[in-house]
Amino acid sequence: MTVQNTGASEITVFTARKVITMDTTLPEATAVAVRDGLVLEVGSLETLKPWLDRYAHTVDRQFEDKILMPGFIDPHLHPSMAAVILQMEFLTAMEWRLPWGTVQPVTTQDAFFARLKELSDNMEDPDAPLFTWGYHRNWHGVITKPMIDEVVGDRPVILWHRSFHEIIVNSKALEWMEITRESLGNHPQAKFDDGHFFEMGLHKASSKLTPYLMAPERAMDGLNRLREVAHFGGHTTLGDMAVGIFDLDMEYAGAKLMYDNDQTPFRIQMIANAMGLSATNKSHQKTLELIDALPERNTHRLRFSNHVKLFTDGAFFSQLMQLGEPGYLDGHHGEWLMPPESFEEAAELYWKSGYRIHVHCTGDMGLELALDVLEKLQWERPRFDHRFTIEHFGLSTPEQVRRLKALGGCVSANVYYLHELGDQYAEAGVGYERASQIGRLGTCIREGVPTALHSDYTMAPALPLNNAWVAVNRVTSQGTVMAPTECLSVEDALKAITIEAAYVMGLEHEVGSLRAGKKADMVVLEQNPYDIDPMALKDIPIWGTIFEGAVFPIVKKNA
Amino acid sequence: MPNHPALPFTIIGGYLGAGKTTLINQMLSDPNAPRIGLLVNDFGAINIDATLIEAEDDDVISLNNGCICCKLTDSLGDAVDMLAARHAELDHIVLEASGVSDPTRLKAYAHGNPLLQPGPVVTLVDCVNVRTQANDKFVKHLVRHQIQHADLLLLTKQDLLDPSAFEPVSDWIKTLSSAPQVRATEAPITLLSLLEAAWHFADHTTEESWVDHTHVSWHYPATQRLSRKMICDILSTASSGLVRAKGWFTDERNALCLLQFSQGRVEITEATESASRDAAARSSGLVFLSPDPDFDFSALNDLLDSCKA
Repeated sequence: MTVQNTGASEITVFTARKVITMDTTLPEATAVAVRDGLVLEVGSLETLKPWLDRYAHTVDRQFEDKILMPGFIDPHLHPSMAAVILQMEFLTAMEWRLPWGTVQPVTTQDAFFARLKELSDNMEDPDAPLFTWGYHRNWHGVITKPMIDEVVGDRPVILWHRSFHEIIVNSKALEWMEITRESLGNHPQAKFDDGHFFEMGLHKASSKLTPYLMAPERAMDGLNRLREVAHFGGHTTLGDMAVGIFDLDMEYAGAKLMYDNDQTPFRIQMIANAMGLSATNKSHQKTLELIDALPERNTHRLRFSNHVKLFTDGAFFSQLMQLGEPGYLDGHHGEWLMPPESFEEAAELYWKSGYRIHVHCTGDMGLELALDVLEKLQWERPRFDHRFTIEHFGLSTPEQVRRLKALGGCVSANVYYLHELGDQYAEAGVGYERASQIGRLGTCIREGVPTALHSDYTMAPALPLNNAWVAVNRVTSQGTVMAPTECLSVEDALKAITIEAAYVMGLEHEVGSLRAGKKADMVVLEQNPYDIDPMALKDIPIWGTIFEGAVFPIVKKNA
Repeated sequence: MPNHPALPFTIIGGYLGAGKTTLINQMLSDPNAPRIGLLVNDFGAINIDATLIEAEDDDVISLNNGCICCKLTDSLGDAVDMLAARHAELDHIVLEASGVSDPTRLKAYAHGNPLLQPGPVVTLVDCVNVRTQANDKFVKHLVRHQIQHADLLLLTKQDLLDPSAFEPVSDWIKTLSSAPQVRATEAPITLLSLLEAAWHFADHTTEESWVDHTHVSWHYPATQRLSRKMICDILSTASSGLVRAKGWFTDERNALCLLQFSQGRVEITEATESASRDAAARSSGLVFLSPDPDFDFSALNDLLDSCKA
């Protein structure tokens, strides 16, 4: 056997118990040959022979008892926001599996305070502030300043709400933030005695806390933690689905400093926040010019393309989504994040400039606006393959899904809403029928709408298998199965975290499945997702990942 | 801080196209405007004459008529606090609510700052389009909510309506809100007169019987000295058509005076403190409010001109 020396790099062949390619033409294999970060060929040691006979190669058999899949893709999260929350201790009603340990759910007030005390006792620096994230009144009851003082009185304690829109602090924290009774006046949403800051009152505290949390050393630490989180979930591609959410240049600089290096086992597709940027750039036209120039900043791992982000209605976790009839149980109304006319103007500009538009839509009326605008744009200037994508996809109607299909749109869903909020929104949101139909993904698949899943971390855990598990089983945190007709098959759920996630970001030619010529990005699983009980999907151990041919094991840690 | 009264804080809201930017542009080019700290959504939309600009950075523009414009970026609360901290340089803070915000929620910012005195919400209503908007599937709740929660409604774009179409629009708005309606007359309404009217109504909405009438307001610059007695005479004779007048003028002895006319009573007081003298000098002029949409302000103008001391 002659090995020709062409100066090409050596080939590595990864063998596996099974390779699940997510490529329907060749769905399964046992070996993947990789060179220079790309897949040369998928098959078996036998079928790879034409390559192996010609070129120097090694066979890496370390995964012979494991499953290889294309690396997972989360097409919608916000690293700069996650970096802030990841500096905090998770103290929440849900289980959160993190690289440094699993945080068990805390669902009563007693347990909440016990855990808070434990966290404080375990801190080395007696004066350091303790930040927690995940408090929620429905689970943990009303908590006020004196109650926290009684449990932890000697260090500043800041309890950040699950929704991120309110905080409760102790006396020491008020002192630390230099907030006095006088400085709050009679603010209706910043209560000195309760230590409670919410809605418009939140800034009274956050203006003191943000500089602390955004200080370079802490922000960098947060970004580092996000790298671990993303790796831990088995990701090899992320979508930063609103670069410019705080400050575009700062976010880009942070990402470049922290992620644009060989220690990072993923790439980030950067999608500009056209709404936020238009507020600082005076007009949509000027924003377009700025966004047009962003690809000049591309590096190997950080890439802008012809995708932009727009918004219609308010946050799902805050019940600010816009609903059609019959609205909310309590009669309140949601909000628009952009005036509908302004959304339409921006969408038209980007549509006619050839951009692929991602629209944050949480309620069915937010979705309706996106569909009306898409229909108008298709009438004025028809486009094929435009990837107009509904992001989040909280509430919808079956007819809207059909219409989305007719107009050529895609869905990128946060199906975890159903798991965490399904029961709660049935009781105190929108009633059972609509709450049970949060994340109407079965209909999307039946209609043929390309459907991806995302975490919008920390709106959901950055664990694609966990999101797939919700989509397949539709089980809420209370164990209720909601609208089983909308369950996805395991295959469709796996597609939604691989090839379809690549598709909505316009990366399907590079990533999301394993075939000759694609990036050699893989996730190494201990079990075959097709061979287990679908209720165990979320518990499949992840050994590590392979990013562009380089192996990145997940190092087991004990928190 | 105790040496300065709390700064009045007024919110100007209304859906897209209601004329918020037009109003603000008028204010910024008005040399007699009070010194206003203005929080705007978008610098791009406002039109500031370069010769008026004293200082400028990304988020703040200082004008030579004493106004400070501040752009709303990340934290509205921080911007409000920043302007409140400059209270010694200002007479009033005006927040331009975004077209999709709930202006009543924004009031919380003023409650949260002891330097500020929470004031009224003024909602601008586009007479031409409001009824369409109030039935639009996407914004009907929002547009109605903005009208229902206003302390004062300023009806705009009346000049674009057929004259016979105005009353039905005005009547329809009354079915949503009993807040007083003010409409701009041929002369553009000044911000000063609007603020005066808004504060007046916010103080008196319950006691006045004419709240369901449309009101018009008018600003008299009062650049020359005026006779106190003659002003009293004019107001007592014209009072049937006027409900309110307020403002600063210089009397025949060159004393700076505050005129207040309400419920048929005229009160004229001399400014004593240098601080109020300074404030008054910057917001000179008189504002008149009438429930009669056809009130003859040009006749009043002639009368006032004849009061020159």
